[in-house]
Amino acid sequence: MAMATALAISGQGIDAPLRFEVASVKAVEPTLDGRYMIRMRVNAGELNYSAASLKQILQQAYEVRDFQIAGPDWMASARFDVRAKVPAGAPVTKIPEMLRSLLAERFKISSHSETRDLPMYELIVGKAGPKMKESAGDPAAPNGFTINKGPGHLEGHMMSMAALANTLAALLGRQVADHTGLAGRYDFDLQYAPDDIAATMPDRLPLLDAVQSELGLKLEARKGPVKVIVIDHIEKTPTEN
Amino acid sequence: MAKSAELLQGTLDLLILRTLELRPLHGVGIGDRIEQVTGGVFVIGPGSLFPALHRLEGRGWIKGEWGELESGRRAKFYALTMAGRKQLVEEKRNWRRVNTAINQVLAEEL
Repeated sequence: MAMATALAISGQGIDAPLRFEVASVKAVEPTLDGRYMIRMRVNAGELNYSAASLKQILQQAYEVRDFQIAGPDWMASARFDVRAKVPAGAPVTKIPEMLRSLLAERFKISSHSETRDLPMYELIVGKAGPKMKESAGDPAAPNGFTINKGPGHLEGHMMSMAALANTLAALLGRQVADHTGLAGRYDFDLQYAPDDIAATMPDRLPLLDAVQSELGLKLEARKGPVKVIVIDHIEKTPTEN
Repeated sequence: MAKSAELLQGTLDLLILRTLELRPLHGVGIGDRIEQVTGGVFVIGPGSLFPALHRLEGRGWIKGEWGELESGRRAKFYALTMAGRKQLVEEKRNWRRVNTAINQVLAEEL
């Protein structure tokens, strides 16, 4: 009911796709060293992305990971600043839908979703059983989360195994299917050596081994069905604001 | 739901520190938790909550770190520091003293 009121106030029909009230999309010039200060935030009813690649924006819009978007390579290097105002009363869960409307309008995107047989991991319980601590009961805060304690250091709280699989998917760049059969929620402290800086962390294990030794879980590589968003058409230059 | 009540000055710090005693939480989660535990008596709006979090962080009682919710949304999560744990003990002690004193005044009325 509150939602319907908010939509009526912002002049949008109930059945029409939800759109930002106002939005600007501006191309970011390439820097000499290829480094950017990337920021992707939604705060106080405003979406604020700085130097986000089109692929990163698409990930937010379609609620998928990097490996689930198939399209031209330049989407990973073309960067944009996006500022947009969320209609009053619209929940943050509707932002992906608003981003999809914005991208369709400015970049003339057409896409379809399909399932492909891709390399992935299966998350299972190791031989010695899980080593994570079951979360203390807290029904008021059922949503799990991870805190970035530093490079290669994740602190998990109230994490379901499905949520952990999703987090690992982001770190590994592959789909991770939860086949642990563990229904509870867990707290853990995971320290591993990220591939790109492993040489500076000789005392830590690579992620796959750390998951086994610290969490008591195992990641088995195999091929399996992965939902992929295929970008059939996309313009390089967005239309005017 | 019960009608929300005005917070006594200084009690917001106690409520936040206590809420973070069990585990870190992000700002919105702290507000939701306080509202839920108090049965809707205390509804802490963002205009009060976020300045309080910044103030407590400035005093070194809590520490904010970036993380990710299950939904994939990034958020800043706040955790109690050692100094914050000590402060919470102090705040609890103060609150009990105030509570006892007010009860005594109320008992006088009878």
